[in-house]
Amino acid sequence: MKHFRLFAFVCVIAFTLVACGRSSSPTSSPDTSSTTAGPDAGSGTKGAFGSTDVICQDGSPTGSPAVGVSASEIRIATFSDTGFVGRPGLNQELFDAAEVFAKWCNDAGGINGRKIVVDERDAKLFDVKARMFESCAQDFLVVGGGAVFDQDGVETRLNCLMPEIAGYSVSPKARGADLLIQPLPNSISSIPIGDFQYLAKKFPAATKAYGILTGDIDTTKIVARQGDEAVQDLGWTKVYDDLYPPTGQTDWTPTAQKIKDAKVKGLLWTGEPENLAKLMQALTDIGYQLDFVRSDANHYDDKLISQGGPAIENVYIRTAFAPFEVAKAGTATQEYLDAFEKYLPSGKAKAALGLQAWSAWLLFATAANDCGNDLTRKCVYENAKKITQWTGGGLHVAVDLRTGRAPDCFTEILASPKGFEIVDDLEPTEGVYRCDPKSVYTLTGDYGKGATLADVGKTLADLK
Amino acid sequence: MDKFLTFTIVGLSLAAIYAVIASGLVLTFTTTGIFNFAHGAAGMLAAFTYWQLRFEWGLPVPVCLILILGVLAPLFGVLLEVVVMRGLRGTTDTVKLVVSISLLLFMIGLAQLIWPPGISRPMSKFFQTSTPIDLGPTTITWHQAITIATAIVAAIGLRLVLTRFRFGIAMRAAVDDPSLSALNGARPNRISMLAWALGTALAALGGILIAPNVTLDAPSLSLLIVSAYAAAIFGRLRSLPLTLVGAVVLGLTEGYLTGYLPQNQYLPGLRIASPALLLFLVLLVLPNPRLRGRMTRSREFFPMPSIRGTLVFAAVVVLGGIVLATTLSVPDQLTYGRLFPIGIIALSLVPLVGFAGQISLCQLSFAGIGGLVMAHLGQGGDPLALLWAVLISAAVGALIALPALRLSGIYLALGTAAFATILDRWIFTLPQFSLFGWFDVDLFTQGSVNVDALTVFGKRFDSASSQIVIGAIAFALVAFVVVLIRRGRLGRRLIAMKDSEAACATLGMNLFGTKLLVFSISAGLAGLGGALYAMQLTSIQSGNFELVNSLQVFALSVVGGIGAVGGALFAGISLFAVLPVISTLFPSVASWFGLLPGATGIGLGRDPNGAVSQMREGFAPLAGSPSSLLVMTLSLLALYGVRLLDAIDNWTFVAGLFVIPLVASAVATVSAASKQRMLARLEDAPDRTPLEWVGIDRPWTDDDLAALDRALGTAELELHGTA
Repeated sequence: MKHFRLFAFVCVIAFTLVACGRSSSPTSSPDTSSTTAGPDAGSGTKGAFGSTDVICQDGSPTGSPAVGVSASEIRIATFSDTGFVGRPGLNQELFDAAEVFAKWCNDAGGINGRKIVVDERDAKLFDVKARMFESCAQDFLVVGGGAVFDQDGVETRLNCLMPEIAGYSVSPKARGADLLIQPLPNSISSIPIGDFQYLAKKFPAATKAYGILTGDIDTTKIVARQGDEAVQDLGWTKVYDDLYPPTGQTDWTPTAQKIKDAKVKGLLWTGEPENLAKLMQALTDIGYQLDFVRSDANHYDDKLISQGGPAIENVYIRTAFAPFEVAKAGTATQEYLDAFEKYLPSGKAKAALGLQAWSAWLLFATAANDCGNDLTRKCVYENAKKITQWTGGGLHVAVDLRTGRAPDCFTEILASPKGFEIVDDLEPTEGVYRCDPKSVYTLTGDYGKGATLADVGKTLADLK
Repeated sequence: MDKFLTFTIVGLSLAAIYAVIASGLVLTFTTTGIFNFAHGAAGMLAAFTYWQLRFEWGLPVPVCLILILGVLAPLFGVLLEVVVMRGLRGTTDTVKLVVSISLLLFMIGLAQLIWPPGISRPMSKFFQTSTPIDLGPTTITWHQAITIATAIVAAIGLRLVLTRFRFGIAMRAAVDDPSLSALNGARPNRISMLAWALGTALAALGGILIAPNVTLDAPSLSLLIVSAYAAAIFGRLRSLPLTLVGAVVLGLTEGYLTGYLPQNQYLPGLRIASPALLLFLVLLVLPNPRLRGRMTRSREFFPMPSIRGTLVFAAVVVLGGIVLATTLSVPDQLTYGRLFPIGIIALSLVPLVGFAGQISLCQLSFAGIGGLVMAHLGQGGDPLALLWAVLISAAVGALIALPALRLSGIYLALGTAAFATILDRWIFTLPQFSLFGWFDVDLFTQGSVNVDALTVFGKRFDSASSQIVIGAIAFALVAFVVVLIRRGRLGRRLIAMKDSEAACATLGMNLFGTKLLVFSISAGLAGLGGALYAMQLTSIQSGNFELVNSLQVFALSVVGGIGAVGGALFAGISLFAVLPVISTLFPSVASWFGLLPGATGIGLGRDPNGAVSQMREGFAPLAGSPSSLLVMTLSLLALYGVRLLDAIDNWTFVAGLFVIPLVASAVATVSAASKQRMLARLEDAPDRTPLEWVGIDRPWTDDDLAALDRALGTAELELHGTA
């Protein structure tokens, strides 16, 4: 149990990476609805968040229409891996977000009068299946969480017909699973390419000499291969393709030297911030400058700058949500930070995963609120699944939950020693986001496939 | 050319770090005979301490360096020597190894407790902001230059210390001939304390130099430094100059591999695994050491298991499995059920380590192979795949026996650890490849593969409870096989080999065949355990079978008592029952668990026979008291019945399981004592003659011979029948 591992470390990286990668999926600004703009309608109204209607309110619930639902409460499972001995506190932000949301919602009366009770399911990396069994017996839904080895629990979840509104999912088997709704999709069939298009326009020469550098972990490699397929489709020319040890290197100079020798101008990096920081330092040391380094939303992390210092230049990060730096009073982002401040000041609010989990919780509350007293898994799943413009109350880009397709909006952050800021030449079309239907690429390669209800001998008609 | 120069500089600065660390390792090994696996972890702790002093508290660099290298690290080294290492004299290589592995795990746990992971701890290099030194075609950073210079200074300093200073000369004298130097008035304890102080300071220096290049993370930093051990092997753990050469070779290889290895998807793993690969190769070509005679008397003693006792043990295990399967909830079955397959993997160590005295740190790798075979050949739950899992793992095990034919002790441990690393970092991460064009191999498709549950005659054993029972039965069968090996001809050959390879060879025993056989058997059993483990997990990742897991299973088996099948069960129970139970009962202290496995291993020096033998001694009176035994069995069955009726919950049940045998054995002890007193009154002269005086103080009888045979496990027939 006490696997201190390296391995753990690796996993940590894997999940963060992918989690965020997906999370970073581009933003869509909700074109039609008022939801997009940060300053929101709902703010201030009790039980409404950002641009949502009132989703948490009092009521007079009766009966027990489903597993985990009684007349007074709803039990919801949230998964994380905080108890993994090799990395104590791993992904604590998921539990923090669950706790804050439950308090916030229950203060407003709960879901039509039923209080949310969060069952923290700590998978400790290797116990996903066991925890999922417990959830099946006790909980109504799985919301706002994720597990590094999520593939271990998918079949159990499908077998007991329990839908999940995920905080994050990693493995292809979980990402593509049935009865799964991702408020910010991490699809295995489509990816957002708005940032590639943006970078190509800004640095046309760099597309003739791009390189790929990826952490040597399976989940990471899938993300990198998907991006590679997309830029090849855009007509970019690859001059360098390499992997680095996920545990880091004792010296990044050789890697930097190889990048220099290959005359790489634009680097597609899939990894984690500390290692990118080390690479940037090595590049500075040998005096080589890249036009851009493109990375996923997990690099929107103070570690990048604290570790990299002055070497952090030209690092572009695609995200699906407005950075915390631009949060102003009245925006959904600020409301999210305020909720943490009020209910759990010690919690980790400024985390991509936390924000994503918060969106999952909002989605759950929105869908459940519409079910009224007769709260069933089927009702919540179907309500959530028919939303066409989900923005997490204005926290992030709009997502079409019917298809789970990658969103076509995004925002681009530039990291510098001073901090993170949105690039000034993004030409946003919706709030801080830039949207274009052509900014989603449909993948043709084989990147695994999700678990289906048919795999466990069930159909959607069985969902009650 | 500038490319070549750059890679050379990188290689040399790496070499410098390796040299500093490896020379510390050599120093402690030569003076005290203990290969300190935790040497790297000491460097890791120093790096964290440096971060704390320099970047968190803002002390000036010289103060930090003096404080750490001059005060804290040496003190820590002395502490290690006095508290832990001194107790290890007269123990086997295995015990020494387990203690240092436990120390490694302990230190990692400690670091994570003090410096919780997940927080950014930036550590800038020395003179990071200064412009790199221009060397014409390339540049060298100040940090690289300082690193190389430091290594040179350290090497010269060591040389001076060992040739010019009194305590250095005393150290060398102690290495050359410990008893002679002691006769000449050298004080061995003081010498080894000094060696540990100096060695730990060198580890600390290496840790501080390497840390700014990588992320400050306890496990990865500790294991990264393990690469330096390969350099020490170049010097056969004795020669400092050769160690320096080894460090240069190692550093340059890594530098050039990074620079010149062609970019393709199969080779990055090779680069990462290169120190391990190099270590493995060096071990293969090392000059053949002389066959080992029996050098020290070990305190270890494992009695011969009896068939009856083993049958009882097997029955209890199977019954235990049934109890678990019927009383636990499904999630708990999933959590605790893993103890049997892990137990089988630990069992595979018993013939190899316990009987034959070999060492293997790659049992989980064999288990991984077994799991993979089960996943790929066992689709649909074909039971035949279990056989394949055993056979294929056994074949790979035979491969590992090749270096083992020449190596023993710590070299073998390092060789198997290197093999495990090569599998972890390279083989298991390979994408799909084609084997000689015959068929495609895709080990871990996209990171994990599904494993189907066993299906026999159309019945699918996919429920958690049925898998627990299967695991328990398999464990009981394997335990029985292991006992049969111990009682048979092979077992005696293995024990003889453990006692003295030289004697065995002199008597004409085929060491080659014996070692090959025992490695294959052990790997095959581990493969079986891995296949069952994989079935319980239903999907496996390479991470399930990493070196660190092997270290834990190895350490806990030895702590349990590696010479007996009970020790293996101890390992399984500790890992997958005790730790989860404690963390459920006392969640608040969960963060301290990282320390537990390490702490238990460190205590091993006190009693190398393991925890199980102590437990068995505690329960020994029971065997002599049939009435207590009967009452205990009946009470346990009654308790189980009450539990099945749901009259009590699991916690009460577990408490009962502990209390009843304890009470029974206490009663048996008391009654045995009173019986003894009665006998003493009946016979005037109770036989209290100590064993070594039998035959001197009183005449030697046939009963004494029988008692001796029982203890040694020699059958009457073979020794006396021919006489």
